[in-house]
Amino acid sequence: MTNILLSKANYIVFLIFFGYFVVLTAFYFFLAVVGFIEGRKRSWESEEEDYPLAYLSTMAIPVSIILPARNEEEWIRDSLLSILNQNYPKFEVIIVNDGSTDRTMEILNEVLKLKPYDIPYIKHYKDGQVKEILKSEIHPNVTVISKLPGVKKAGAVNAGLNMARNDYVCGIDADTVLEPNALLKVMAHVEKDPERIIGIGSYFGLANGLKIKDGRIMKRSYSWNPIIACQNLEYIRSFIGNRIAWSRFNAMPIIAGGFAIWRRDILYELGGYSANFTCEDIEFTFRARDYMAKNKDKDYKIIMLPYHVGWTEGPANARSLILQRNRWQRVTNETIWHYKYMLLNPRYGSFAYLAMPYFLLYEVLGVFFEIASLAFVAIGWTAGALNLNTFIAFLCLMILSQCVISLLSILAFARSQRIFRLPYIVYLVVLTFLEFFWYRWIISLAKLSGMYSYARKVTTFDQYARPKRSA
Amino acid sequence: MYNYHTDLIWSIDRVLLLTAFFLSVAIFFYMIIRAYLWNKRSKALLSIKRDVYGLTLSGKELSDKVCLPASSEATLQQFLDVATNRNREAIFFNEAEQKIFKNCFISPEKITRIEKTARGSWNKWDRIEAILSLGYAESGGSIPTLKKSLNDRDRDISYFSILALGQIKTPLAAKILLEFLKKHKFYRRKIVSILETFPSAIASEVVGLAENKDQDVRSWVAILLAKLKAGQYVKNIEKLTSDESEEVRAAACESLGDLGNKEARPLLVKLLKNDMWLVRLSAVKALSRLLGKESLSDIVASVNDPSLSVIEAVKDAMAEHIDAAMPYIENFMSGKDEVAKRVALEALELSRLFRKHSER
Repeated sequence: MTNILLSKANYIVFLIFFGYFVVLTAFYFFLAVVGFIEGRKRSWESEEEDYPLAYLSTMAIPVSIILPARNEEEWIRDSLLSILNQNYPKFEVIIVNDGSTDRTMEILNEVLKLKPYDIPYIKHYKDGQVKEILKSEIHPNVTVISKLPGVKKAGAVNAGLNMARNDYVCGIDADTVLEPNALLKVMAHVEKDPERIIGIGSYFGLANGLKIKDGRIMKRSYSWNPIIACQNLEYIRSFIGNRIAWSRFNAMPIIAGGFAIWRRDILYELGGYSANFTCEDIEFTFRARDYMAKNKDKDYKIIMLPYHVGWTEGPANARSLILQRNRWQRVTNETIWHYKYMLLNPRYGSFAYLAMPYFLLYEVLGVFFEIASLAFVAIGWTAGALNLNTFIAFLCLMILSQCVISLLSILAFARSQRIFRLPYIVYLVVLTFLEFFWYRWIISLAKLSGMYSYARKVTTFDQYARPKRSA
Repeated sequence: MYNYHTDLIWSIDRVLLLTAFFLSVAIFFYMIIRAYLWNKRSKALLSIKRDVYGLTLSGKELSDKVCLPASSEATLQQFLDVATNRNREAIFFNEAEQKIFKNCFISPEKITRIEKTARGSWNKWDRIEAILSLGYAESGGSIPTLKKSLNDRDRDISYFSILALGQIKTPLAAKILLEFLKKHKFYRRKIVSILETFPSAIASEVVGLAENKDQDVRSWVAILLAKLKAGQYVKNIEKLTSDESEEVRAAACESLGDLGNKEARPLLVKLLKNDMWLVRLSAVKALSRLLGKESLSDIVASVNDPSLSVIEAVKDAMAEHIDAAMPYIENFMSGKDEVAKRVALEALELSRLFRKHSER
């Protein structure tokens, strides 16, 4: 009798795990296929777009670029120069020095020739204490706000928002180097429908390995470090595989802070970024979704494009990676918990049925399923109840389904971009078969530590140790 | 030992393994084929470049006989590559070369073939390339085809038809675009940015929409008339400054400033007292653009405006014409109005930045 009960219990546990796996994999397949089709459409659009018209038009939509920087001496020069090199007719730059203690301010002064500027500063958004405002003598469209630290990155971006005057605001990380046509390509898309597009982002890759001088990419030598390459693979899967598909259904759950363009009136309506969360980008996107639901008649859209707009530095070792992903996990949990009422709520349309379940099932609960499946295997092994044949079959199923999803994303990426050359693409293909055995477990460990930090109510923005860049 | 559907799972594994293998091979070959096609595309462009360059040097009259096959038998993709310079990293064509190539490429039979593709190809992107080609070929006779594709249910086809019509800068193309702007709420900004590149003669078509019931359309009309420098319709724009919509009034103000008709001064001064801040702001900007330093006597009073944006605009105007603004600045500095004092100081500070920049 006990044996029968045990057998039934085991079978039910198996069905739960298998069901979870099937649902998630089917969902991923669906997103990868939609992303594949949509990515191709976007790259056609880009090929046929009349960019010179967008560049030369007096109707170009002006953009305020906000660059928050805290101890970014390694990257600030290149990041700033890449912004100043933008092929876009109308933009202003607002750099917010968020209490840097390194050479960030000195470098800004070298590049911009700053001098104090007395201008009214009105606090619409929560920003912390502003020390002084400076203006560049050689670039009249550049303003620097120097403030005390303390309200996280959200406070720094909010300080920039207080000074922003243009219709769209583009937030960029200080370790991001933009491609010269980044703004032009994205804003040409916005120009098609500025009444409805309230937020837009685009693909950016990892800068590790690139040779960059004065904000320009001199040599596109991508890092062969497997941790970096696996992150490149993840970015491709995430941007090209998932987000493009979400965008297709107007269900975008996140516009990453590395390159995020929002309409300024929406930022104003929503009171800017919130410092109550670990990071600000995902929470703001969720808040914007709330706003969209309340203003359904306006038919607002948040869009993701596959064009590579820039490059950002990624953690180059497991320790830094864990620290970064711990932070991502915390903010995901905080946001999902805060906006739990959106889940399967018809008011939020496709977002409620597509993005929210994904976040809950994979981003929040996924790590528990992974750990529980390990425990299940371990217990089964110890009790001598594990059928090795079933175990290997199931393991292969997990690895291969993940591989197929990744390969679909790589193919979509290769079709729509000319970034990586054949040897690097082959390397990524090989990594799709190997990442399960090591990289995935680093990420699981990071997620677990993120869960633990979340349970301890940690909400600090922990920056991992940044390596020195070679000259 | 538990055995849960192991055979079924192995069967799925086999399918997945085959799919993964197929996708890996597909990616590998796709990369190789793409590199090959890219090289081929660049070589074809190089061959066209040589062809066109040879024709330029020879100084011969252009005719079917002198055009070489690389130009006259080019594909639509190559035509667009040359006409738009979209592959400028590979090979760049200057305006003269583009003109010679177009003359060799375009023929009535070819236009008929392209129109056929633009009307009915099952491949949407082939259709779009054909639509764009008709535009870049500046084929006025193809306007009916483009009009049809403009009203296609597919938004992409509609959008690229707008771009194509934008290349054929005739009054008929403008009329069709304006008709679209009137009917649809999307792509309006794009249409206006295209129409501003048209000859100013289309202003007579534009002004016809000045009394449209849609306030967005009226705003765009005001903006577009100024972009076209249609001074003959200044009365129509002036009429829009008393529109029921504040956005239309503001757009009309800015347009009056852009048009450069100094007779609009009394009207703009009156609008400095409008009850909507957006209109007052536009009036300050318009006066500054219209009259330069002469505008200061009208706009300095707005230094006490309740809207910060209006005050900022006054300050910008003072900084830009700092010499003319000095009497007002001295007056503000000796007065008791703290806001005016601050504006005066900021204008002085800002003017130094303006000067340094203009010296460079």
